[in-house]
Formats: sequence, structure tokens, C-alpha cells
Amino acid sequence: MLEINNLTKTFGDLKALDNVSFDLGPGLFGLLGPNGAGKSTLMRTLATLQEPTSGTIKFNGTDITEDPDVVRSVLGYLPQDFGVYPRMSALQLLDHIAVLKGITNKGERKDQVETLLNMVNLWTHRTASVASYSGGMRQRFGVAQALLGDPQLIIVDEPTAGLDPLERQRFLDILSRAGDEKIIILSTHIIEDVRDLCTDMGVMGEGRLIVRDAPEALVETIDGRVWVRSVETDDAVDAIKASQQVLSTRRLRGATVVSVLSDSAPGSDWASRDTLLEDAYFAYLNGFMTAEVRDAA
Amino acid sequence: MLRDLLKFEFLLQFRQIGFWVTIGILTLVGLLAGSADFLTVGVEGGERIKVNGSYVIASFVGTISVLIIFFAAVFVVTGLMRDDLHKSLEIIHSTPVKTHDMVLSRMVIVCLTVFLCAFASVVGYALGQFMPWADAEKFQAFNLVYYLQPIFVFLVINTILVTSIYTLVAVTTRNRAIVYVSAVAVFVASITISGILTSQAPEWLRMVADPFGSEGFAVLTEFWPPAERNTRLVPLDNLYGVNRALALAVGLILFALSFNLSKRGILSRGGRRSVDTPAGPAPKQVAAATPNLGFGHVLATLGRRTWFEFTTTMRSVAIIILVSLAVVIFVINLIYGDTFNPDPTLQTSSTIVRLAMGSFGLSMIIIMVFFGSDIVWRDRTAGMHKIIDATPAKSASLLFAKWGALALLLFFLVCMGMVMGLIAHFIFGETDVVPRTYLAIGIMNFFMIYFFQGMLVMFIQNFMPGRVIGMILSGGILVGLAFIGNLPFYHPLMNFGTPSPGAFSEMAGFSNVKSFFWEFGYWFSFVAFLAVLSIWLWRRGLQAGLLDRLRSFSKRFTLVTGAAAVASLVAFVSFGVVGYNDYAARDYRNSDAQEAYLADYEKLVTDVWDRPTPRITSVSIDADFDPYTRTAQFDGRYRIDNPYDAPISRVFVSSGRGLDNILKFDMDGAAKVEGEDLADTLAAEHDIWEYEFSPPLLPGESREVQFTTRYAGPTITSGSAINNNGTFVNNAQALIRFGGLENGFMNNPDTRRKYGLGERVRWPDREDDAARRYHLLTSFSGYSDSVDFDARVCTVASQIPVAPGKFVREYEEDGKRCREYRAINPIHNFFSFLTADYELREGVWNNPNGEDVKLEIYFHPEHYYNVDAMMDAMKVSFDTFTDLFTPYQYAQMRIMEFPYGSFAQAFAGTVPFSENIGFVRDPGNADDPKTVDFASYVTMHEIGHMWFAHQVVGAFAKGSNVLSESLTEYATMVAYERAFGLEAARRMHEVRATRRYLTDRTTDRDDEPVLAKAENQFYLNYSKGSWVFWGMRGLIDDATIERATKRFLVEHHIDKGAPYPTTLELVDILKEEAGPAYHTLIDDYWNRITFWELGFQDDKEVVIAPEGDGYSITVPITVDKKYASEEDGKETSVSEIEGSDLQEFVQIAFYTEDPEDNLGATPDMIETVEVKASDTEWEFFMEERPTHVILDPFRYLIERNTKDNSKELDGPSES
Repeated sequence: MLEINNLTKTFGDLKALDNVSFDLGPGLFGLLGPNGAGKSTLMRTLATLQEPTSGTIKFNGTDITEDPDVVRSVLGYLPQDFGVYPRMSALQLLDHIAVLKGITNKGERKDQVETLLNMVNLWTHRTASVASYSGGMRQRFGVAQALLGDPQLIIVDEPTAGLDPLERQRFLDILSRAGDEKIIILSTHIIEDVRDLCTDMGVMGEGRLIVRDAPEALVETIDGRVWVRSVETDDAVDAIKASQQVLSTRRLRGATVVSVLSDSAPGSDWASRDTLLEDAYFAYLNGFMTAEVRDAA
Repeated sequence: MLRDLLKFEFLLQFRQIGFWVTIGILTLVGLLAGSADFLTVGVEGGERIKVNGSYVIASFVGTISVLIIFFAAVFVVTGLMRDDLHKSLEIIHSTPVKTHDMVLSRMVIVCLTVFLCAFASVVGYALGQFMPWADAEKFQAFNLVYYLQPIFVFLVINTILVTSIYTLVAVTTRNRAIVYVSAVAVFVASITISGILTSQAPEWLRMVADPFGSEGFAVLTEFWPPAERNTRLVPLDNLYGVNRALALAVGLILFALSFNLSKRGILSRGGRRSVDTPAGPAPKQVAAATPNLGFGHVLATLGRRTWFEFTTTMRSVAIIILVSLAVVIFVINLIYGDTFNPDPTLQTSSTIVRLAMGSFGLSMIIIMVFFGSDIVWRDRTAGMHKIIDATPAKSASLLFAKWGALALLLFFLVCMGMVMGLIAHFIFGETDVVPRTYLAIGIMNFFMIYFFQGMLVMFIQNFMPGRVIGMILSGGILVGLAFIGNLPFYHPLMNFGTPSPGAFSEMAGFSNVKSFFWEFGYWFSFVAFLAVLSIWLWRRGLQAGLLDRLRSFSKRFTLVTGAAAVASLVAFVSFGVVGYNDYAARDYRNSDAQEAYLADYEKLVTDVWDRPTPRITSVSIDADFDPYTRTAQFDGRYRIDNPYDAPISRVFVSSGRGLDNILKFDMDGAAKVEGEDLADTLAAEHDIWEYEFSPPLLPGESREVQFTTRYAGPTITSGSAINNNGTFVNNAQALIRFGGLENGFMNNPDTRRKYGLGERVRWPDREDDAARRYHLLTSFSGYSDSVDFDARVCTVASQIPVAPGKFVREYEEDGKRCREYRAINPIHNFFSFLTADYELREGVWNNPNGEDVKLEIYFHPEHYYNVDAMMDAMKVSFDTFTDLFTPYQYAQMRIMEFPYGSFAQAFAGTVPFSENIGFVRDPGNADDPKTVDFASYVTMHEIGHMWFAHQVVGAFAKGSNVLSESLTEYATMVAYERAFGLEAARRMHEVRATRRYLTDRTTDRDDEPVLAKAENQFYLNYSKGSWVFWGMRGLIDDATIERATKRFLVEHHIDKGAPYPTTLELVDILKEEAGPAYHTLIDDYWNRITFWELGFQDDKEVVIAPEGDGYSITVPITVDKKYASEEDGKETSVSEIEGSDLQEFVQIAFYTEDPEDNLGATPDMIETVEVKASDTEWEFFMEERPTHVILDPFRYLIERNTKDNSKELDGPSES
């Protein structure tokens, strides 16, 4: 059980985290948000790499800033970006990290390292220097090291960025099988990652947790209120932006498709369409779902 | 475009902290060097040689220009390699900037940055003069030119040269480690070159070969007296100019080369990239492995990380190059170090291991600074820290693994050094391999210091915002630590991380192992405390800023670390207090405090120091040594009398041991003065008692004195002069003395001025009849003429006790071995006691008077190398000196080896002789005219003292020491020539006399007197004295000098007692014996500071014309003679002095083959001409056509520049 209470983290004048509070139980939790929303700050704070300015994080009842080892001993962490020691093979490096993670039994270590290398499809490259890996391979290596030991809390920060579709699929596959009894936090700005995998999610923006719910539930809140229309000119788009709650604009074959949130059709030339998680995400992120609005809905 | 780039690059360098830190440090160094007296360049800079004189400025600039080697590498890396470093290469290199603009702007700015840093130091130095604390006497008027020339000659050229080398390495390798390594290589090259090019190497080679120009500068300025050092600029119209031009040219060529070799874009390293393979069937889950996070985990991570950090470092190319460099330096030094050394080192275990460790020394500093930073920052540099720091590995494990890896690395390298030394010793060595010596020196003298320095670097890096700034700072601190002793508030407790077991001797081992363990404990607990601090503030995770870490401090604090901090701090303070008290107990003072103390002392005794004291007439000593506890006790009896016309009522009493170690002191009818200010202060603060005779000691009356003194054992901060094996103490150190207060007066005129002490007390004038009552040795051990002497010396059964006098008996007392010695005739009140585990070599010299003299050499059994040679030297000496002079006066002659020191001392019939200058010395090859044999030479010198000092001794007045040392040098040269021939003697003259006189006179802080009035100047008593006798023998003749010396010996023999002779009598006798023709020459040698200047006339050739059966040779020569001022050495030609004419004896020698190898000692024809005008022509006839001509080939005349004294003659013309 992870309890986050009034977590604030400031860097100078910048509030990277602004009074964030939520609890997490076992399961895959997706954290969506644009760049700069504070996702990585939250992830790093959870991973004990930095301390909050105020607020607490409790893991199974223990404050992790007071006793970071409580988290570190059960943590599997894949940072957003990381480097590796030069001239070390995947085998050596995993073995090295396994020791640091406390797997002091040589046989156990060997088994895990080999299984993981197979699992992330790096077995054939196990003796090659990790520094020579391509981005996808390196990311899979990152997963492997995060799964070393017996992690109860797995934090993966933007893991699918830069992966090709096949790699991404494979990665998500591994993650989803990591175990139901574990707390897994997946931070991403790719909405599909969350939609496909997570039973629970949150949206972050400007350092705050805007909403936290199951993906379906979020979609539910705006179901039937998404309207689209194709317009030709940029002026027309601007006009809509001035009058409507625009969720997204998208260029499609020379025209611009504008999606808006509206209880009823804004006009005759607007069509309704199926609600996507993406719509819910933008609706919350853009502040259309203030408490009043949500209550009203 | 180029202008914009230049501006951009400049601003970029300008914004670097490293730039400002370097500028700041260097300016400060310059400012202090140019103003403060605790930071000086060499021995120069004082009243005679001004701090802002042309020579001292140039020396300073030259030194700074060598520092460039280090910081230039950093700027080249940051300036030229930052694209790689900051991973901005792809972006920058794909812009439309022209490659050559980019490269050129960077090179120019890096060069400029480096220059500015060095220049800042010179600016600081120049400003020093104007600082309020600067001593005005040390400066002359500011002269910009004195700065400009060295700035160009050294700074500009060396900046270009050094930076160009690094630039080439940087653009070709794009590997910053290799750039740093090349810095080491450059430095190593420079020190190796200056190491091999000793002062004995050919001058042309020294001028040309040093790429940084320091050697050439040294060659050109080495004989400059103060007057020239203050105002002369180094001439460049010679090979040195060529050297500087070459260095500049090479620098520019390397820049051009780098410019052309600079490549743009990503460097193809040919590295393999892994290609992904399609996904196959794979397990979808992994079995959990439960972490085991107990103490086992702490150890496992510590072990794994230490090994990881160590092996990763060991695999780096840079370290392999550094180690190879060290090996190369070692081999070069071992094989070629003595190439130009006429007196090579004997390679024993201790010298070889020192050489090996020394070769690693520089690499060690670089390794600490560079790899220390590498290790500390490794995870961050690689980007692994986010993963590593989120694991449950304890910070302590991660941290100590890093510290441990560096320690392990340093240890490994020290071991490598030892092994390398051992291997070399087995292959090349001619001495016995003593492995324990290797271990002792390698670990205790070297590894320990590296260890502490390395840990300090790790500590510093933990607090640095970046690794480069950390490197600069830790490098600066390591260098700064070497100068910590110069701080005005210095105390040895501040001398970070230097546990020292004291000096090492192959005979006696380390001089104080106790202090090693105390200092180790002290510094280790300090480092342990630093380690705890580092854990608390370890950079973990992403909150790397120091402030953030300080804020989290309370969370990092644990019971264990808290306890460790307290424990280490308590240990540190305890060790410190114990040490501090020990220093306090023996009245330790740093050099500033000591100066102030001596100044107070001198002011205190200014009215009483020259009181007459009783005379010691007989001495009887019971000495008891305990080498195990390193203690000794002396029970002594003196008989004293009053030879004056007035009664003596008061006398000052002291001992080299301090008052605390005088266990008993009874003087008949005398009592300690107490309750008087002076007496109480002297006793309390200066270890001097004042005694009052009651009734006074009347003229002619004699009384008895009984006393006991002792040597206490070593303490944690100071050794004992009594060693486990190999002790040598003399009476001035061990026993009681009267008077002698002037021994505590300071001589350095700068220091005296600082404390307002006025002119120092000079030795009495030779005409001072009162002074003639005393002889030279009065200045060592108080007033006496000669004494009756007997001694009983006891030591442990395994050792042999030795003292002067005839051996009477050996006996056993309380299980100790004791020997009794008794002088057969009165000796000086100057004697010694020795004990060691000796091997004895015996010989006999057949005295022509029929009374055989026993010759004995007592030596450390491992040091047998030169014993035979020394025995032969003793015999030759006795033969020579009895033949030339008077009979030998003692029944025996003993030489005893003793540890540590580098000198020998002649007591009556006994000579303590240190291992370093005789027993462990390579005697060279007797047949090679390029080597000299100091083992034999020093033996002969000490035997010579049996005549000069022990048969005739000078009055304690100016010139007194000349009568013992110069006459001894003369006798020694005769004996050496008899033993080894004229060629060897000629070489010895060059090595021992000429160069030493000419160089050492230039660095005297005081005036240079004429030889006849010399006081304690080594360069006069030994070097010039030796030169003058050599010259007189050559230009007058041997027989005359022998006759005069023998006359002096007989007429002023010590048996006659006071009044003692002075150089006035010696010079008179020399003049009488030589005749009026030589009076000018003798005066030039003895009563003036004379420099001759010989050469060939510029506008005339040496003409060789066939004549009869041979050739007539016409030699046009030019001769000048200059008299130098005593104050600053300014020279004036006799042509400008009214009433002085040239009337010089000059030898002209002809050779039919190149005379270089033996310095012209075997001419085919040699003639002495008497020159009476500056330009003269001389005609000679030779049957064989000469190929070379040399003026004054034996260097009889004192001449600074002899390069123009020799000429290769043209061969017969083709027609």
C-alpha cells in the first residue's frame, strides 16, 4: 500500500509537484500527463531519488523519506533515461545490479539474470556491451534490471518512448504479467499504453493530480458529449476555440477536425462520435471537468 | 564568422569556474612568491639578490611555465573536446560553421586562456613588490623589461608548445584521458631531461635539449653573481636562442598539423553495435528472488563494487599508459640517470626502490586526481546513478567501495613499483637484494602518503559541483600540501597524511617507527571522520546539490554513523592532543616562531655572550649505550682552569641535550645563579644555566667538574640520536659545554633585518691578538687548547663501542661489552662515541719511523663494497702526507660507518664516516678519466685532517677554516693524484672545486669575502681553497707549495699552543717561499676575488706554418683579469683600475688529438707564458702538427667562462 499525502516538490520557483495526494494498492496504475506535468518528479520521488519539499509518502505505513530502504529493498525502477557503464555486458551488468539489490545467492542470481535476459529477448546479446545496444534493446534491458529480485513496487517512467510498435507491445506484455499483487506505476504520455493495460489511472498537469479513476470510468464521465466537425480555415478553428471547449484538433486530408466537449451539439454541422480515453484525458487536462462541471454531468 | 566564434569561445572559457579558480590560485601564488617570505623561488630573493631582479623574475616565470603542463590539459579538454563531452557534437557539427573557423577559434582561445592563467601569476608576482608587508630591502626599482623578456621566452613559447601538443593529441584521439596522460608524458619528459642533464652534462646539450628552456637558462646564468642576477637579461644570441625558436616553431607546426587533422562529425571508432534480433519464444515471467539485505548484503555490495571500480579503472587505456610511462622513467633513470654523472650512485636496495617509487610519483598524483574523480563520478558520468541509487545498496557500501578501489589501485601500483625495482635489481644490480628494505620503504614511505592523499581527494570530490572543478581543486590542494610547512602558523599536526617513520638507513632502519604509528593513528582517525561526513553527505539520487544534501543530513544520521563519527573524532583529537603535548614538551617551534625565539635570545644575551669561560684541560668519560631502548648516559669529569689574567666569576653552562637531560652537574666551588632575570630566563627558555664561582676561579687555578648527561629514548614525535644499530654522537651534542652562546645567533641577513638585529657577529679579525688565544674548534665545543682524554664506552654485547684514543682493553660489565680508550697525546676537546653491529677490516700502515699504525675500518656487514678501496686510500694518504709533511701523531687510524648523515668528521685518529658518502657510493672506474672516486677521496680528506686541524689549527679568526679545510683539500688532491694519476685529479678538480665555487658563490645571501678571510662558507673553505692550491701548484710549482706547507706545519704546530696562526702567516710563508714574482698571483688568489678571462683574439687566427722538421705556431691570445666586489660580485677589469697591470702566468697547451675526454690533462706540449698586455701573440715550435690548443687546460686560473679557451686547429690546407 502506497499512500501519498500532500506531496509538494519545488525547484526554486517552480512547483513540480503541487499538493499531490492519492493511495495506491496492487495493480497497474497509469499516470498520464504532458511533458512537464510532474510525472517524472513524482516517479523519482517515489523511487527515493529525491525528497519532497513537503508531504509524505508512506509505503506499507513507513515514511519513505525517513527510511528510503523500505522502498529500495522492494523497488523495481526503470528511469526515464539512463546510461550504462561502458564495456560491460548485459550479463555482467544485470549480475552487478542483482548484487546491489541484495540477491547475494549466486545460484538465484544466475537463474534470474538468465531468465530475464530471455524474457526481454536479449539472450543472444547477453555478452555484448550494453552501451552498444539500440534504444529498444537498452529499454528492454532496463525492464530486466527493474524486475530483478522480488520487486513489490515497480516504477516505470516513460518506458515506451522511442520504442517501435513491436518493442512497445512486447514491453507492455512483460509489464502486464509482472504480477497482480505488485504495485506497478507506469508513467507515460502515450494514452494507448494506459488504455490497454491499466485498471486504474491518474492524469497529471502542472504538478497536480487532476483526476484519478479507472479508464472506463473517466470515459464514462464524458460519454456522449464529444462532438466533431471538419473546418477548412485556421480562422474558423480559432473561432471555435474562442467559443467552445476544444478537446483536440487534428489535420485530416487538408482540413482540420475539431473535437469539442459539449453537453449538446454546438451546432448543426457537428457530429457526435464515440468517446475515447484521449477525449477524457484532454477534458480533464484542459480543466473542462472542474468540480461543478463534473457534478453537473 | 571567425570573429563571432572567437568571441563566443572566449566568453565560454570566461564563464568557466575552472578558469577563474585557476586564475585566482595562480595570481595568489604569484603575489605570495613576489612578496611573502614564506613562499620563495629557490634560495634567491633577498638583500643581495632582489626578488624583482631580472634573474629571480625569470626563474619564477620559468617555474610557472612548467605548471602550464598541468592546467593546459584541462583547458584543452574543455575547449576542444566539449562537443563529445556534452554530447552536443551532432548539433554543433551539423551547423554551417566552417570547420577551419571552428577549429581555429577554439585553438586560439584555448591557447589564450592558458596564457592568461599563467600571465595572471606573473601579474601577481609583479604586484608583490607593492604589498604593504613586502620587505623593501628585497626589492629594487620596478623594471618592466625584466618581466617582458621571460614572459616571451618562457610563457608565450611554452604555452604555445604545450597547448599545441595537447591539441594534437585531442584532435587525433578525441579521448580526454589520453590528453591528461599526454600531460604526464610531457612533464615526465621534462623532468627526465633535466634529471639526466645534470650540471656535469655538456653545456651545448643542456642548452638545446630542454624543450621548456629551463636548462639552457640555468646554464647561461649559473655563474652570475648578484650584481648580474639583478640586472642582466639572459642572452639569446646563442644556442639557447635557437632552442627557444625551435620550441616556438615546433608549437606552431603542431598547431598547423592539428588544424589539418581536425575532423568533423562523429568519430568512427569501429566499435561494434549490437543489432536487435526478432523476438522468439521467451519466458513471460521470472521467479522472484528474495533479497537478502542484512550485513551480508553490505559486505557483498562493498566487495563487488570495490572490485568493479578497481578493475574498471585498471582496464582504462590511460592507466596502462601511465604505468608504462612510470616503467619507462624508471628504466631510463636506472640506466641513463648517471650518464653525465662523474660520481654515479651505487644502486642498493634502498636507492633502487626509491628510484622505482619516484618514477611512479607523478603518475600517482595524476591517478589520484584524475581517476579519483573518475571513480567518484563514474555512476553519474555513465548515467547509471538513477538505477544504482534506487537499489537498497547502502550508501556506505557504495562510498567505501570507491575509496577502497582508489586505495587498492594505489597499493597495487606501489607493489608494482616494488616488483619492478626488484626485477631491475636482479638484472642490473651489483649489490645485494634486501627485500625488507623494498617493503619498508615502499609501504611506509610511499604508500601511506599516497593513501591519505587519495582519500582526501575522494573526500573533496564528494563536495564538488563537478568533476573538473574537483580535479583542479584537489590537484591544487595536493600541491599546496607540499608547501604547508611554509605557513606562518604551521604546526606539524597540520601536515596532512604524512605518517613518517623518519629517515631510512640500510644500517639502522627507520629513525623513528614510533612516530609513524602515532601519525598514522592521528591521520587515519581524521580520514575516518571525513569518511563519516562523506556518508552523511554522499551524493545519492538526484538531489546532488550540496545544500540539498545538507538539508537531508538529519535523515542520513544514524546511530552507527553517529557513533563512528564520535569515535573517530575522539581518536583524532586524542592522538592530536598527545602529539601536541609531545611537541610542546620538547619546545617545538615552527620556523617563524624559531626565528622570533632566536631573535629574543640574541637580544637577551647581547651583553654577556662573549664572557671569558674556563678552559677545559682534561676529559674523562664513561659512556653507556643501550641501543635497545635507544638511550645513553654519559658520566664525565672535566678539569678546568683559568688561563686569563683576571679571575672568572661567572660562566654559562649548557648541553646539546638540554637542561632536562643533565642528571648531575657539580663544579667545585660553584653554584647555580637563581633569582636573577637573565639567569632565570635563560634557564627557563633557552636551556642555559648561569653558574657563579665562589670564590672566583683565580688565574692559573684549576678545578674539577663532574656531570651526567643522557639521551632519552624516542618519543612519538621525535627520534633519538641513539639508534638500534649505528649510533654516532660527538661531545658537543652529548656532554657539557661552557659559553658558546653565539652558536644560537642567526646568520641570514634578511632574517636579522626582519628582527632588527643589525649586522651579525663576524669572526674576529686576523690581527686581533685576543682572538689568537682560541682555535677553530673553540667554536664547536668551547674553550680548550688540547685535552688529556680517556673514555670507557659500553654497549650491548653484539655491538662494538668506539671512541678516539688508543685501545686499552675490552671488558664485560653487567653483560655489556665495554672498551677503554686513552689518548696517547693530548687531543682536541672534540671527540665522538659510536656503537654498532660492526664487521671489522684490519690493515697496517708501515710508518717510516718504524712504529706501525693499525688501520681499522668498522662497517655494516652489508656495506662491504668500498672497504678495500678505502683501506688503500688510507695507506696512500699516510704515505703521501708523511712524505710531504710531518709524522703521523697517533697509534691507530679507525674509520667507523654511521647511518643517515652525508658527511665524515675527523676526530683524533678516528673518523666516523656516513654510509651515504663512502660505504654506499659507486667508486667509478679508476681507468675512466670521466669518473671520480669519492669513497677514496673523502677517506683521503679525513686523513688529511690528522695534519690540518689536528697538527696545525688556525686561530678562531677569519680564514680559520681555510687552514683546516683548504689545506686538507690540497693534501687530498696530492694523494688522489698519486693514487689515480693526473687525469683523474684533473677531473676531480673540475667536479669538486671549479663548478662548486662558481655556482655556490652566486647564491650566498651574505657578502663573499676573499679566501684569506673566509668564515664558514663551504664554497670558499673547500672549493675555492682547493682551486687556489691547485693553481699555485700548477703555476708556481709543487715543491714550493710543499715546502711552504711543511714550514707552516712545523712553525705553528699545535704542540706550541696559543697564539694560533691565521692565514696571514700562511700567505706570508707562501710568498716567502714562492718569491716576489708570484706575489701578485698569491694576492689575487688569497686577498682578492679574482676572475681571469682568457681567449683567442677575435680578429686573428692561430697560424701554423711548416718550419724545419716541424711547425711554427703563432697563437694570438687575449687576457683580462677582473676583481669582483665583495658585496654583489660586480666585476671590474684591472685595465680600469689605476696601478694594476697584467702580469699573468698562462699555460698554452697543444694536442694532436681531441682532448675533450680527459679535459686536456695530457697535452703533447705545454708552455707557461707570462702575459703583460691584454692582446699578445706567442710563437711555439712543435714537431707534430697540433690539432687543438687550450689556454689554461688545467684550470689553474679562476675563470668563469672557459668555453672560449679551446680551439680546434685547421688541418693542413689541401694545396
